[in-house]
Amino acid sequence: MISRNLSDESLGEEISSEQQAPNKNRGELRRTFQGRILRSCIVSFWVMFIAFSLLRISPGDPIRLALGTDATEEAVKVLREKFGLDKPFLVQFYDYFTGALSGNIGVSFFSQRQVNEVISTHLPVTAMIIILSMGAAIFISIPIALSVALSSRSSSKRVFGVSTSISLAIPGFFLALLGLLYFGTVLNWVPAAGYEGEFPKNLKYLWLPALVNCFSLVPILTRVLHSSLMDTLDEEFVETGVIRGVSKIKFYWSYLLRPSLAPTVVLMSYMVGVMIGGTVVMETIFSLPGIGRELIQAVSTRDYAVVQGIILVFGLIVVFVSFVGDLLGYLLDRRVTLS
Amino acid sequence: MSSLEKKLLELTNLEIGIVKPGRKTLVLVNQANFQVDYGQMVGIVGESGSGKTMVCRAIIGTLQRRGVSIIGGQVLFEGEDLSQINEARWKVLRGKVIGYVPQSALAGPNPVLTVAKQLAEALEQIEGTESIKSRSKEMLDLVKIRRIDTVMKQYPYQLSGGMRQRVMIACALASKPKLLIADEPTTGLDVTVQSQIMELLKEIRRDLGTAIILISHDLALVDEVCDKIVVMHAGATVEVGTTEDLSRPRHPYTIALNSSRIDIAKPGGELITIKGNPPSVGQWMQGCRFAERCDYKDTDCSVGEQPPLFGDKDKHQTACLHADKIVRA
Repeated sequence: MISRNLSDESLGEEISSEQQAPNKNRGELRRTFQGRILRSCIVSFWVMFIAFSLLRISPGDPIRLALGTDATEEAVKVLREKFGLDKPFLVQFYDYFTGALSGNIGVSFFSQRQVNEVISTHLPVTAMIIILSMGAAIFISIPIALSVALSSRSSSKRVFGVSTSISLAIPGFFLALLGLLYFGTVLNWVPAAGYEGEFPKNLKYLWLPALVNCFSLVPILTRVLHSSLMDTLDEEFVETGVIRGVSKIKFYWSYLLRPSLAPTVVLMSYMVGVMIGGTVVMETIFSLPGIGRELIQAVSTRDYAVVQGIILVFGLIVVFVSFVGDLLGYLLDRRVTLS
Repeated sequence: MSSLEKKLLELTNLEIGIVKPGRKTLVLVNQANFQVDYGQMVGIVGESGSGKTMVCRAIIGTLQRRGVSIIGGQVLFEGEDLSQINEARWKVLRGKVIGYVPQSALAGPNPVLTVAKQLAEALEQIEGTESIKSRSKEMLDLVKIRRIDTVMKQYPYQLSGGMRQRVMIACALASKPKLLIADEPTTGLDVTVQSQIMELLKEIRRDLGTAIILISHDLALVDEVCDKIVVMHAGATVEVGTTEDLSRPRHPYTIALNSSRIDIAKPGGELITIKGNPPSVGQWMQGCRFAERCDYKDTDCSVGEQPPLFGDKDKHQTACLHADKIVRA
């Protein structure tokens, strides 16, 4: 009986130290959210400031570029005043910053369009390419990684290693050109250039760039997922699942994929940032009116407001998506800690 | 009761190994012999690599997924040879009639599922009149978890090792198995928690009549809670007997294990260890595999096969050619 009493007593202790766990967790989660929002604000501010100052440091006069070589001094002066470029640097930044807070991020020197409008017309094209390629990449990567991880044959691992290396080594733009040549001119499946229409119609122009993007994503995702799957397979709870006799679908999802997906999800959220930059190449090759191409043009004409606006949007997207990625990783697997 | 009626599980010359085409078969276990009666608590003791985990995987049917298979002998469970049955039949037995508590309490439960979900997984495959939720609570109550509603919503990482192991035991007991295999269930737990878990296993055996196989490398622990002890060395059972029998060990390995027990060591005295290392798998020598480490070694020890268990089943059995001499000495 003594041992029983002893066990009950220490059992009480054991539990009392754990009973606040959920509350503690919820508090932690809220603090994480607050921290993340604060961090996003700080990051956005710095992105804004750096883009702003780098543009002003770099050589080239946007007004002269916009007006052409035969513009009169008078016209240059008028326009410079109109855009506030004659004011001191910090005053300019203050004006820009306060404007941005109220949603006004300026006007293009070149086309006189609102930067907001420039972004809202061109961003969807880029976003579409990224979403399409990411979706396809997930769709392709999961079964590949799963089947290679579960395969007992060593040959399948070798084939997997070699083929992912090869697809990683092929540059995206090269693949894009090949694809354009083959599907565009030989098979005529893709219009060689141009862009038109709203959502379902534009798929005709977007599927090939998305596919090419996807091709460089798949090897990265499969490799990361495969290695976490291999780690998971070594874990004892997989055996628990087998012994518990859960259904196949449940086993694959709850015992293999879910505990393995977090690193892949987090990586994917970071890849979004990389891909925003990467689509610039695709948009140029396929002459799509995406935001990347717009950015290149704006930089070459020193169109300050447009460059600043696009960089700011990129920054916001990266911050937001990486937060979503971390959160998703946490929801999939509570062992993941949110920083 | 005749011996046929009370016998739940019987291993006869069980041989486990890795078979790969074109390569020599790697034998991990051979000559595993022991039996478990209904409601009996049996401890399997041995050093790491002695094959005790392989034996229990053979009983729970998880060898195959690791590329290991039963290559000889029999595992009779209620008269059915487990080495011959197919996966469909395993689905009925595994985790249902034969329960399993994994080795590491920390890694056993699925980290991405709450306690409630894990219990539901175990319970939903079993017919029952009450709702899964109330049955889950019942199970948690059975393993003496308090504040059940809180624990149900928690993830394993929020629980201590002892609590996790209680949850695992609850899951394993969900189907009211006839046999529960606990593979070193207290590894990584501190001593007080360890004794709580042992106490719990004893109560389960007493209240539910579940036969339990307890695997451990700790002879003292097994000695304390089990009715019967099976000692394994280098893939073979070297001594089988009741706890009382084993207090007068006859096999040199058991004698050595016994004298190296920390709990009976004299304060300030030197700790006695077993000399040498257990032979590695695939490098078993001729004759008795303990011979090289044995103080009682004779010339006939290193010839032929590993000696079989001498003595009647149900009685104290020893796989030593010189057991009589040693006991007398």
